Amino acid sequence: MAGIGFELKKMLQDDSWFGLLKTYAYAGAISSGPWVLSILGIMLVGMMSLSNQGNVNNWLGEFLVSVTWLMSFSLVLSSLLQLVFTRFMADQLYQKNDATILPNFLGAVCLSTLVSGTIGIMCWLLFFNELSFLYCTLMLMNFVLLCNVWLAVIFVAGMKRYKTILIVFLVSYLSIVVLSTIFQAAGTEGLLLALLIGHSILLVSMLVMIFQEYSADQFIRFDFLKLRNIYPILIFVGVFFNMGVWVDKWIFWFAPSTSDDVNGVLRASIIYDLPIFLAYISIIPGMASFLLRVETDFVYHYQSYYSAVNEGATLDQIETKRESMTQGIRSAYLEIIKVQGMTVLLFFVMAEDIINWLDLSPLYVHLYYIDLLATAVQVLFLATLNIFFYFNFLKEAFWMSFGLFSLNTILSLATIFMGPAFYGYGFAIAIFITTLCGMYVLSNKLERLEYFTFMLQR
Amino acid sequence: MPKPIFPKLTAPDKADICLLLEGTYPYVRGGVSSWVHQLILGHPHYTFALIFVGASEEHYSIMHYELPKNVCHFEQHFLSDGINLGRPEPRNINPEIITTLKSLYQQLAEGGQAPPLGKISGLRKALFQVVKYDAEDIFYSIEIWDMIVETYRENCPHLPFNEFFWNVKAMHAPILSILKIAQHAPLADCYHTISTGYAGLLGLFLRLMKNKPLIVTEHGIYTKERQIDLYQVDWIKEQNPDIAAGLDSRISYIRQLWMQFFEGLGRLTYSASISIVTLYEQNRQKQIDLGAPPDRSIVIPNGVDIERFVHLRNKRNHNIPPILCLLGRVVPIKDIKTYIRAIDLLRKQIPNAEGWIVGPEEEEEEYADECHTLVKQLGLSNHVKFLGFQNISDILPKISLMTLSSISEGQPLVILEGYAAGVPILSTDVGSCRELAEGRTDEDRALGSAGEIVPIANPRALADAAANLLNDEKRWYAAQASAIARVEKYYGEQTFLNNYQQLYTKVLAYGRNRV
Repeated sequence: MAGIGFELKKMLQDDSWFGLLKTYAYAGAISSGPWVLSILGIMLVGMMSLSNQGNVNNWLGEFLVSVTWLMSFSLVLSSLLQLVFTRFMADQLYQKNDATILPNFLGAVCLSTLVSGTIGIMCWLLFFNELSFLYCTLMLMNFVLLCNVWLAVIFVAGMKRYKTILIVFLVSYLSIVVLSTIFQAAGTEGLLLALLIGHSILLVSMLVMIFQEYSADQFIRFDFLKLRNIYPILIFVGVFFNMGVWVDKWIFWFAPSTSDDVNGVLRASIIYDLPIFLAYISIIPGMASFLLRVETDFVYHYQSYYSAVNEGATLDQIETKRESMTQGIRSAYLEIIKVQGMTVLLFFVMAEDIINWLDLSPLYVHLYYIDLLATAVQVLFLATLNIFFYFNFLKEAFWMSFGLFSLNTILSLATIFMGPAFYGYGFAIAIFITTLCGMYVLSNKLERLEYFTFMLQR
Repeated sequence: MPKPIFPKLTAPDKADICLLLEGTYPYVRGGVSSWVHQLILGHPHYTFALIFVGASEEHYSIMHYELPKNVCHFEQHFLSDGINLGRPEPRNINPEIITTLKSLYQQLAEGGQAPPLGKISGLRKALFQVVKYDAEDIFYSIEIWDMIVETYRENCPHLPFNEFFWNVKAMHAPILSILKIAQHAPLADCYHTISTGYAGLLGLFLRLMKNKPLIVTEHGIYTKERQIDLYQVDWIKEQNPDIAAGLDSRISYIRQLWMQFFEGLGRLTYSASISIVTLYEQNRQKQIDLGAPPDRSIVIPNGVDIERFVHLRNKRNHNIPPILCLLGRVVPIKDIKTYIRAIDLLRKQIPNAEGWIVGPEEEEEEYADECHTLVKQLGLSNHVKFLGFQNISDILPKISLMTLSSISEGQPLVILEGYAAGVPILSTDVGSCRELAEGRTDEDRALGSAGEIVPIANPRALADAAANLLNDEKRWYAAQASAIARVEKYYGEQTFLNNYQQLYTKVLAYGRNRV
């Protein structure tokens, strides 16, 4: 009699899902990259303009506000595609479909150009039609360019050639600084042109890197749009995260009591923008130690946990690996807290001097303190979000970014009504609460990691 | 290929009998399948519903039988296709189920005689609790996970956990599929499973859920077959190289677990069955060893259509031609080589002795080649004849001993066909051969011996026994008379059908009186 007992077992040899998780690992680690770089870029150009003119009003200058708007909205728009595309790429790499990567990247670039171009033109026609043709053209070009830059950055970061990336960025922003001194006579338009050229250099260098890395037999493909290749939740994680870090700025740009009109369309909040962008400079050491920790310690423990699972370890051994991974995560957090704590202390001490040196009103100091703390916590937020990505806890990543967005919206609106003494607290409390919740959930998940690893598989 | 349209029964209509078929009729040719076909055709006054359970669809693409008219329902399920589970996320189930399950597992592991269904505490409870949940609730359950971990720590904390976990999962996934099948199964007054194993489990579920009686008929002993499979499968990794090399008789915990699992399925089927049927006494004994209660276990042998063969008796010459015939596939399990060696020895006693081999050689060509080579080496080309596929009616009148040298058999129909045509038996002592030759019950034994039984793999014994019968005309004719009397009394198709008729009448009366 032909029994069936034994044909059933074949399915248990299929443990490819472990491999998938491993390759997915890097997807999240870089999601924060472009955002940090963008802020630093703004600051760099801002400092440059400031040192050139030494005039506080320049902060309100049309150029700087234009750049901020460009960065802000291009980041949010491209976040629709970023995480989804990165995940798609990781899956393709895992399945050894290397040849499909480049054509799909070009597909993504096409899509991004098309969408950002359409949206840009619509904004031009609807809101910007009063402004000069040259200004609008440069803004549109910069916008489309930036959307593609963010897409390429995440793609290049996936190749883990961090040193090259750093050099490429330095060269591009350096050329922006140099070009802007040459073009500043032409006013905002000249500076926008400098920005456009700089970012074009950036994009082209990254494209060269990408073309060096991957080969292709087809020119363009759109596999990443197929539903079965997509994790829709990643779209929401990306969008809510990016809106989450910008929504307080938007609120302050549009609240009449805190904002000024810059050129009839764009608005800025002198009281809110400056301290927070200044504060973002302080997170460089924290970000660096976070990247280092995650890339080295954590990934090592993470891989050894999953190899133990796959390569016949006993449950005790697996648990030991999990505990040292937990320990690794804990020490990464501690490291971030230490490094960022020291940095924040340093900036605290120097805060008044910095404000003085920049010739800003002492009124900014309190807001600057709060922003220093908030941005420091944001490093922990990013670390937690990334670890969620590593474990494929996408739902948790979603709730964290959605929590940040909604809390930041509500609390920032509230602080507007509560008055200047509370400015900055909205963002600070929002990021603090979501980070704390995220860490708490992560800790719970790690406690039962074996359950998630084994039991929650189809 | 368009999907064939199968007859479907919808409640409240019900069948008289619902057959539960695992990996057999109507998709697989062979003894069990033709038996099922014969059973259905032989009871035209009953309606049959059929539930086929197989591993995966690809193995069962061609239907070898046309479903008889009295089949009112046919459905098929493939367990490897698994259950489509939703998105994995933590689920909880009532911890009470875990307690019930634990005590159930403990009882299953105990061994010994299968207790009556009512005595398996918690079985019914567990079943009706589990039915209330979605598959996801079970597969993603935190409580079930904790139970798996606890079991692992208690029994095999040194085994690769990944392997243990997936084996446990693979073991239990089909149970939930079977449960789903049972929930939607057609109504019938009695359920009849043609094996233990997963079909037997389905029978158990139906017995409990529909509250109708269950019968099990086993041709081979499923649990034993699975045990042999388990010794051979390579997907269970051996930790100990000695065991892997076969140098150590201990077996891995995972293998043990699977054996226990199939034994448990068998025992549960026996518990749930009102009658436990086998083809012959030896298998009945094996069932009893595996837990079947003797008082519910009976033998109903297969039967042949005697009428087809009666006229062949007159075609025989009076003198006995020294021709042996082995009717069967040329495969190692039939031990054709022993048969060939026996002919070699026999011709030294009876120079004109011949040994025919009637049956296909394609199944194991390498083995068939070896047999041909052996014949040449022994210089037997005039004595051993490979006749390939033949019409049995042409062969039977020309031969004097239906010979089997097999190392394993069930209840070989060729012996009965030989009997019906007046050919005595010469067989190794395997399966039901001895009781076919010498009789099963006292009454049966009184009919005398229908031939000779010899030990396996012993050409000398086979040759001597053949010589004795062929040289002793009186003995040969006595054996022929016994053979004819035995087949006519116990092994006619009609006898077989009457036996089942009686069983069905009894069980259906019982089943219809239940509310």
